[in-house]
Amino acid sequence: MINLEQVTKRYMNKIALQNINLELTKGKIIGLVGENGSGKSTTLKLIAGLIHPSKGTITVNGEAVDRRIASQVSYLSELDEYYGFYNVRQTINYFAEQFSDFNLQKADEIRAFMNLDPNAKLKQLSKGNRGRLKIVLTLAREVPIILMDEPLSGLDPMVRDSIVKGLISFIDLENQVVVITTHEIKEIETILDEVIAIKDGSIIGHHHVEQLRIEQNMGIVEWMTSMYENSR
Amino acid sequence: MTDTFHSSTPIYSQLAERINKQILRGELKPGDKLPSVREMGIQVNVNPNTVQRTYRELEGMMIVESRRGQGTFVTENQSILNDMRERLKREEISQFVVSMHDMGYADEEIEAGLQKFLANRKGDDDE
Amino acid sequence: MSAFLSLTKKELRLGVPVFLVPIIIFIVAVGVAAYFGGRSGVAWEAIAVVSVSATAIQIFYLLYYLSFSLKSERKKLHLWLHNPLPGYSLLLAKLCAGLVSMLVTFIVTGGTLLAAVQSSSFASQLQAELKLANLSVFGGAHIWLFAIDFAIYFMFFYMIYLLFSRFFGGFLSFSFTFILFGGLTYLWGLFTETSLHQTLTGWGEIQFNGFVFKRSFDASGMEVFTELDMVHVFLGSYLFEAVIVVLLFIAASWMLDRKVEV
Repeated sequence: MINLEQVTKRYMNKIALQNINLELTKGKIIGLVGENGSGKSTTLKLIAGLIHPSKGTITVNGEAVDRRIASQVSYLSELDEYYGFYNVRQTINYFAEQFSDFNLQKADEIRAFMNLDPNAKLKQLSKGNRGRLKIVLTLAREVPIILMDEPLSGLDPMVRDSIVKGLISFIDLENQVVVITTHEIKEIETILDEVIAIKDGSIIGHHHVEQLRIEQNMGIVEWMTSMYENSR
Repeated sequence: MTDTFHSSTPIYSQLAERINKQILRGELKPGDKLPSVREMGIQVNVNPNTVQRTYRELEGMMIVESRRGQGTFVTENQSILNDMRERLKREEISQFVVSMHDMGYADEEIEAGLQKFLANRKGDDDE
Repeated sequence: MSAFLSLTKKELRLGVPVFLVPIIIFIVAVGVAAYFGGRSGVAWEAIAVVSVSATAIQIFYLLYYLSFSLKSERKKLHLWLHNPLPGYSLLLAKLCAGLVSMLVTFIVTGGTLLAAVQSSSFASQLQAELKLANLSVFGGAHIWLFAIDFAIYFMFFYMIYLLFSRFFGGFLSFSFTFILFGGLTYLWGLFTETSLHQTLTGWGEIQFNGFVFKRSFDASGMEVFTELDMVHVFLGSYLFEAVIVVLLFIAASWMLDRKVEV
């Protein structure tokens, strides 16, 4: 579904990603872990076509990626900027009009599950509720690929829990692949199928999570720590 | 059912163990329907794929059976459940014995200690 | 509702403050003009002057509108760009919202102007001399043409600014874009003096005789007025400008789809 071949992303004086090869298939929830600035967000933005590789090719379902891959990719940004003049319902309706695969009924279910007031003004929404709204907007699309950049970051434990439960409830694992970047590994490690560790712009490990526990008796945090040490 | 899992052992087997214990305690009775894969996933915060694997595993051990279009049910075959009960007991005891041996206790000491412990506990319970 | 319409609706909503500010300023200015003009008994004349200026300045309306609209999108590029619609639709939606806002503003200032002209005594003298209908249609049309022209030039250079800001900070990117703009304008100036430019634009001449004045000057032989009374335009220059603008718009859309980064 998602394919990165020899992908390098360079900025003026800094290499954000170097020679990344990655193939991700559907039916999985994949965690992208690593330190700040290791290249997690960059990877997601590249797949979403919001930035462009300096070298290499990226395809989604065989199609070369640019901005308009948005028709097949639902991207949740780590920023939560929305149009402040809309309320929650208007924001949802706006998304429904922009994306033909947006399922309004599902959006309403997720919104109710997340306890989000449809009449709340976006400007007055708390950080936690903005985090919840992002989940509603991202998961309500019937889209093959879902990318989530730090969906739990900066939120309190109750919100994190409702988001994790929302993920399990509303992701359609038969047809979708979900890639999540996160610092909060503990929170989501029971819902990950695969984990990819990134360090300094390179992938230093890619593993099935249950396999890791069976073969190496390791949880994700321990595994990541050992990968980081090995690559030193 | 919301207590957390150990991160370093396979979740699917931890979940299978939980379900087995529920059956032993009688919280799940023979013939009872298990929650759907997704419902179970939501209850315990686990990836539905992992729940699926747990159910497959339990099915392989014939502890549960899936009926097409209806869901997954605890088996009504009492002898399989009895076997499981025996097996879990054996496993638990063997783990206990191994760790006692590790600490240098002899079989006689373990046996005597266990008897004394159980007798005392019985006394406590009677009060 | 189609995605494009809903996007345009969003752009209109986004532009509400940008739309209201000039209208409010205009109303205040008209009030001030009426007050001070009224003290000297020329209230309508003063209002007419304000309205003429307000209408004429709308040649920059879309430039102003788009600069705010695009700037407010700059903070949420990931939101604006994460959309299956092609780049030209994203830009066109903004342009349409700008045109609608401009239309309303234009009607307000133009309507005030008409009312002022009808009511002022000085203007009725003018009316006796000049073909005001001709002048306002010709002038009005050119305000719109120039406004659209500037808008698309602006979009093009804004995309270049966004490209620069992939690598540099906001101020540097702005400076580079500005320098590039200056350089290109200079080169363009050189080009307009070439005979090639002359060939491309100087065809399809249309003359309007007796366009401006009601009186006829032929008999009195006043050359200057006859000259003034004759408006001539070249179809070629309009077509040439249209082609340039379309090309710039395509280039801007292409940059938005392929080169701009979040």
